Order: sequence, then C-alpha cells, then structure tokens
Amino acid sequence: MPEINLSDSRKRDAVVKAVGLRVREPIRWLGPDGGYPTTHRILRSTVDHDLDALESRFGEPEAIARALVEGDPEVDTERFGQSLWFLSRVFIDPAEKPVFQVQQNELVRDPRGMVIERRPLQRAEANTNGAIPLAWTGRRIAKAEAVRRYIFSDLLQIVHINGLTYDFLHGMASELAASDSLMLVGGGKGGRDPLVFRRGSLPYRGFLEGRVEGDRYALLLHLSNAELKRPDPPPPAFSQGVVSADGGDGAGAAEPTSGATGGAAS
Amino acid sequence: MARTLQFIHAGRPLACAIEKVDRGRLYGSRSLETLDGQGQPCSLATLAADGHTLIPMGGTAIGHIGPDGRWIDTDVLTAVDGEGAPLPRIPSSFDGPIPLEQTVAVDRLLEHSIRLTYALLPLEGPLDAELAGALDSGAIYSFPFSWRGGVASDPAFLLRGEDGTLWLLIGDANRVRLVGLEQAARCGVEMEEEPLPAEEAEAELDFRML
Repeated sequence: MPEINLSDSRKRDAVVKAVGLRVREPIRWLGPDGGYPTTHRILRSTVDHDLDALESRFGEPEAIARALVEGDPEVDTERFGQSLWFLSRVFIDPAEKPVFQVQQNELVRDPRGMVIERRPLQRAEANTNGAIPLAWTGRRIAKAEAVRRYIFSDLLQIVHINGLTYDFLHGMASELAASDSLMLVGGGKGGRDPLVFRRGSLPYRGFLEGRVEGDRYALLLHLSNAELKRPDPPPPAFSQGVVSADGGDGAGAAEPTSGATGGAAS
Repeated sequence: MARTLQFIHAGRPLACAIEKVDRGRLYGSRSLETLDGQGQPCSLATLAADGHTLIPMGGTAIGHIGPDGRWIDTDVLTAVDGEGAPLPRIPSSFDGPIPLEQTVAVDRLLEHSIRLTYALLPLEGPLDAELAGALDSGAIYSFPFSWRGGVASDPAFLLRGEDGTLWLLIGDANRVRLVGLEQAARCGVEMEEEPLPAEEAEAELDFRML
C-alpha cells in the first residue's frame, strides 16, 4: 500500500495511503479425481541442449535431425521435468555465458518502430511521496469528456490513515463530487510533472475523482499514459509497403496477451 | 488482415474491423539494450537454484501435480469458481454478434482499468441513425468480451471518442468502496489497547523517570 503526499485546493497537504482495487473472479482448476492440483514450474530445457548447442555438436541441420531421431540429444532425461524453485534472472552473452557487468541503453523508437535515439538508461525518480506534495493543477475536466479523451489504465483509491486525514480527503472528495469532474494532479513544483510511483516505473498523468455519500467518501486517482485517439497516418513512403523495424506493418488487429481475453486458460 | 467483430443493435447488424491502438503506436516506445564489457548484446536467461544451470527463454513450463503426486494433463482439468461450481464455456466474441443492449454510466466505466483499446471501423458505411444518435449523446455500451472464448470474459465498453472514432475498450474491473471514518488504512501492526491498572491510572505523574 504505497504512501502518497497529496495537497488539496487550499494547498494543505498530508501523507495518505493509495490502495489498488483490481478484482478478478477466482478460477480454480479441478483434477479428474476431484482434487485440486498444485502448479509447479518445471525444467523443459537448458542452454546445453538448445539449438545453438546442438549445432556446435552436430553441425549441419541434417546431422542434427539424424541425431534427434537416433538418440534424443536435446533431452536430459535425468533433469528435464524436475520442479524448479528459487529461480534468478541473469544476463548471458552471445556465447551463452553469464555476464556480471552490463551497460544498459534505452532505445527510443518512433510510432513506426524506427530507432530515433540511443541513450544511457535514465530512471525517473519517484515523486508521489517526496518533499513536494502532488498538487491540484486547477485543470478540471468533465467526467463524460475525460472518458472520451484519455485511456485510464489504472486506478488507485486514496484512503485516510487517521481522523485528520479523513476530514482532509472527505473534503477533497466532496469538492470534486460537486463539480462532476476530474482534477488533474501532478508532481514537482506547479504540478507539471507526471506521477512516478517507483524509481524507473512508468510515468502517468493523474486525475482525481471524488464520490460522496453522507459521511462516506471515495477519492479515486485515475492514471493514464495515453490519449484515446488514432495514430497519425504514416507518411507516403510507409504506406507504400515499407515495414517497421520489428517486421510487421504496425497496424491491424493485434491479439492481446494477458487477462481473460488472451489468457491461456481461456 | 484485421479481424472483424459483429454487433447487433435494435435488430440491426453492425460489422466493424478492429485496429489495435496503444501507446507505442501513438507516441513511440522505449526498449532496453543490454551490452556486456565488450559491447556485445546480452539476453536474459534463468539461473536455477544450483547456481550453474542456465535455462534459456522458453526453457521452463508450468505443470499440474495432483494431490497424489502424479502429473495431470491440462486438458483433463475442469475450471470451477470459488465455491467449486463448474464454470460454463463461453464462445469467442468473434463467433457471433455482440448485442449492444446494456448502457452504463460514466462512473461505471471509470471503475475499470482499461487494458486494451481498439478502434472500430464500420465496414458498411455510416452507423444507423438510432445507434449514431445514442453514441453522439454519450451512450456507453457494456458487454463481456472474450478473444478466444473459454471460461472467463473481460468487461468491455463501446463508445464514441472525442475524435468521432468508435472505440472498443477492454479492461479489468475494480472494486470501488466508499469509506467512512472508522475504515482508516492500517499502518503497521495494530496494537490492542490495554487498560491501565487502577493504581497506575490514578497515580501522580512521575517526573523522576524522565
């Protein structure tokens, strides 16, 4: 539950809590005997048995194919299938040896996938619980307009930690609820900076929403990092068949990779 | 080729091609390039607990082990809900028309975290007047959506954006709850307050201990 330093319209500030609200209907998997199986991560292959290793051992693809048929050299029958615990992520070089010192660069690509800048990795500092509280910018946007202009990809609920902050947050929620609008909040002096919750994490624009019913309130922080709009059309050279850096045309329906819509269990 | 979704509104069909729109296509993207001391590109691998087994990308899998310790194939598993009731199979949203019947308020849409955004491109000319009128006046249609079908769906919304584009938004539900004074967030371990013994409660303040 991250802490957040937030100011109101009167520039009073307090450190309060932000809680995630995501809910997912629980799905469990039942075995044929009526018992619930446990899920294990198991070993399927190692770098000693991948295609590179087989190429260096057998050479030509035909020789590899013969070896696969004759002796299953890609399988370590003693180890493959064993359960894995306490896994770590490591960098390996092209020879598949671990690397202990790395340099990381950031590749900046334009919307067509072309690299336009290569620079040393820069990690934005967190600014949601620093010395400067998140500020109301004074920019209000009607809720009905906001949902048609921005993609709100995450939601946090701001909650009080004691009686004083209850009054503080209830007051903010009441003010926002009365206006039926969202308030843009930002970091840094003047609230111009996007919100960064952890060092190096994605920056977001933050919009506060208030709901009130008597003594109870909900102060919601909507996070967005994109507008609801179509990409600019590509210049003529790209519309004549030049493909993007990743080999695709960058358009068309892309299948999602997570959630029920794209989940493997679906 | 873009896939096509079929909708049905007031008995009239609407076929739309879908076009995924994300941050990368709007503004570009950033990725990491990792180099070793000689400037050679590095890739990520997994190191097993023994400290020397290197596992390449795709070198691990998920397996299901029954209570008796035996392997269970995924295709014999049955999906059930939290109470153990079997979940019905639902078809893919591409398999048939999606009825546009239920509208929701803006607040309901705001209670969702939008994960996927698709522009809907009507294939047969402009929308019919009734649907266009509803969308122009701010209607937001809601329905469950499943890309491949299966046992779960995601909440989805159809609305007209500020730029006039028809949008399909797919997201995750959030549970927003109004909170009162007594529902303060817990900070650290809550301590039970024990009453002072009567003699201590009535004793004079001891300043010698300071």
